[in-house]
Amino acid sequence: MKRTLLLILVALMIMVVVGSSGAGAQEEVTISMWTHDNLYVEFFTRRGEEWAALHPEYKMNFKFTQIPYDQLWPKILTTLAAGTGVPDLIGIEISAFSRFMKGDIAEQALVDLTPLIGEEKEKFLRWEPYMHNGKIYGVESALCPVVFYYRKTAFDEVGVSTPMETWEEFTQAGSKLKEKDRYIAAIESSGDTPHHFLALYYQQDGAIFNSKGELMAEDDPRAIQALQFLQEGVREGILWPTSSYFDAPHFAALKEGRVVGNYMADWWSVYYQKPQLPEQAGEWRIQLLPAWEEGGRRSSTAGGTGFAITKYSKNPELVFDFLHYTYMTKENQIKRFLELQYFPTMIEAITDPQITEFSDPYYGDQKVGKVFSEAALQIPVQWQSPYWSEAIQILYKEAITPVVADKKTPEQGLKDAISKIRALMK
Amino acid sequence: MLESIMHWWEKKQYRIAPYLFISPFYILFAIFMVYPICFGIYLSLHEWSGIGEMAYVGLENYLNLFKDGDFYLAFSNTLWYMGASLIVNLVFSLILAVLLNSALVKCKKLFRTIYFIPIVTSVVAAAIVFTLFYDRDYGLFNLLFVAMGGKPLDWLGDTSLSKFAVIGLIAWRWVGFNMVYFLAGLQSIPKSLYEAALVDGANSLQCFLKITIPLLRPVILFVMVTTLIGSIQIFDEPYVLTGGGPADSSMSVVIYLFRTGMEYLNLGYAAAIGFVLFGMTFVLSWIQLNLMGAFERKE
Repeated sequence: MKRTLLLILVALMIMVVVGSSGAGAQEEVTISMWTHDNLYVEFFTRRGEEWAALHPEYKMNFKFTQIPYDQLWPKILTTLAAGTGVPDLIGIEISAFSRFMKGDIAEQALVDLTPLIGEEKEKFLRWEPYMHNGKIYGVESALCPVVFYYRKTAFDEVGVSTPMETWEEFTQAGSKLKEKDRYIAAIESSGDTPHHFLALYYQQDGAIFNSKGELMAEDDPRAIQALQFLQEGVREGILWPTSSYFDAPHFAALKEGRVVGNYMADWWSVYYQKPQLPEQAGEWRIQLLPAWEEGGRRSSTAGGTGFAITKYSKNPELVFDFLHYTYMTKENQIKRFLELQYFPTMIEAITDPQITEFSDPYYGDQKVGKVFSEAALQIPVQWQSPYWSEAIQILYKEAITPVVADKKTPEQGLKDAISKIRALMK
Repeated sequence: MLESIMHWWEKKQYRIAPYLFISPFYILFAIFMVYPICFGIYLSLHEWSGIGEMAYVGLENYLNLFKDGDFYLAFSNTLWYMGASLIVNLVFSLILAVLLNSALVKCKKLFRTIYFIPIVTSVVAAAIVFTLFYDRDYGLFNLLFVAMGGKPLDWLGDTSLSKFAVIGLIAWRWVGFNMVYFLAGLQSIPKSLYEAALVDGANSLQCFLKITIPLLRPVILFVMVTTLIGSIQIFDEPYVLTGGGPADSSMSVVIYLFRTGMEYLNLGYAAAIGFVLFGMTFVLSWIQLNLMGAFERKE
């Protein structure tokens, strides 16, 4: 009796060993990712399937989760503080990255990607926003070049020839549109991130912070010029100020044809314009930003999201391989644009005919890829600081909101904002 | 060994068992209340960004608060909210309750339910609708204003109007809720008192001032204290409606706390704001209760 039991036991053990070594050919790996943007969930899911097929030695489980923007950061912070439940990958929206620069959280929580990226760094634009103390912590998910979106039919109606070359021409066009009760563009007068000011300022090579995190904008005539542009535009009735730029009132104004243009990044199109204004398909075009002076830069930047690997990841190298496949290969950089219209960061992809020849029926079959590509190649550099979140709040409060409302001069607004940011940095 | 434990248990179990029976509450209370409060005090004396080393700074966080212009702004906004919501909640709730209690109104239950609906509605959903109501160009309120010959107002974009917009949402949300308390209070006042007063020749205003108000005192006190505490901690309404803007004109102390803690990651400073807020709530409630005579000894 005992012998039979023993035999059964041995047989069972052999089965377990053999069984597990059979499965050992397929190690089980789970890769989790948190992001605020559902389009990334879709894109990562599709690439994940392809990538898993390239690695038959693993049994991949993907857990990609969209978490609302406001809840994402407290959630990440709590899991980091607790040291459990942290995902492998986090999509860090550009203005949220500064939180990771505070108290060197980046260094403690995120994998330094610099050695993993190595020499490939040169092939891409835009690592700066996700760098801290000289190390790279994030791979940019969209270049976010800013272009001018305009409803061509409205411009034709008043006889404005497009594209416009300078901001002066832009202002003149705005005055003509005004006669028809139309605004050439809307600007956000209060909100979370002052894209409309920053885009104009970055376009002139301006910077709030430099690569060392030093405050740069003090009494900067370029910043004053950008503020002045907003103030005068609103005063003259050319620019339409709104506190609901990403909400229904602005979309209503666009639908009515009250607002017929916007200077915004690549994501404006897929995230807001096309879903909100499907009936205006074919009427819109895009052009490079007007220049401040002839021959000047025709591009700027607004927004972005960097994908970072956390130190809590069990397989950081494998996760990087996945990130590399998804975001750092030419093929998938192009796919990202074709599928999501988030513009590539890889120079080879930016100049690829699949991008430059890409035409979009929404924009009257215009070759939008070419416009974005030209804007991309002259995109200005943007540096962050641990004080970024505070700085942009202060910029709104002390400069942009009061200046747009004509309650302060641009000079005074900038002075107040800078002195407050400086006091905070002490 | 085991036997001695068993023996000890036999002897003491009648004294210990009751404590064991009530222990779940105390264990949970210790974990979810006592520990966070103690940790909060500890945190408020440190500089910490969530992970990594904490740096001891003593009372610096508290001292900095008194030099912080943003905190003063948030504080004065909160006092404004407090005053305005006390007025709105007491006056409008009481008026509504008296109207509903009068014999003239039919379908009382229906109205009571309707006025109670806001409190069971998600504030976020409501705020989205209110954002549309308040809009400068397409909002319902401005449509009415303009129809009455007024000028359109930028409720959410003008620094001097944003707080009024928030109070509007607060009134919508809480007036019906407080009305239910007043209604309950009104219904507990004996009818005979009014009949006696009428016989003595009192008019309805006198009845209201001499009978209704004094007898409603406990309810008024209760509504005042809950409104006060609620409005000192106000967060949801301004956060979803204006995000504290424009230019921080509608930022409450709790929004400032949230921003400092969760956006700027100055968790120590945020904890200090939390304790100052607690102090404020405590002192103001105490003063209010005192003024209303809640601590008076009844002879």
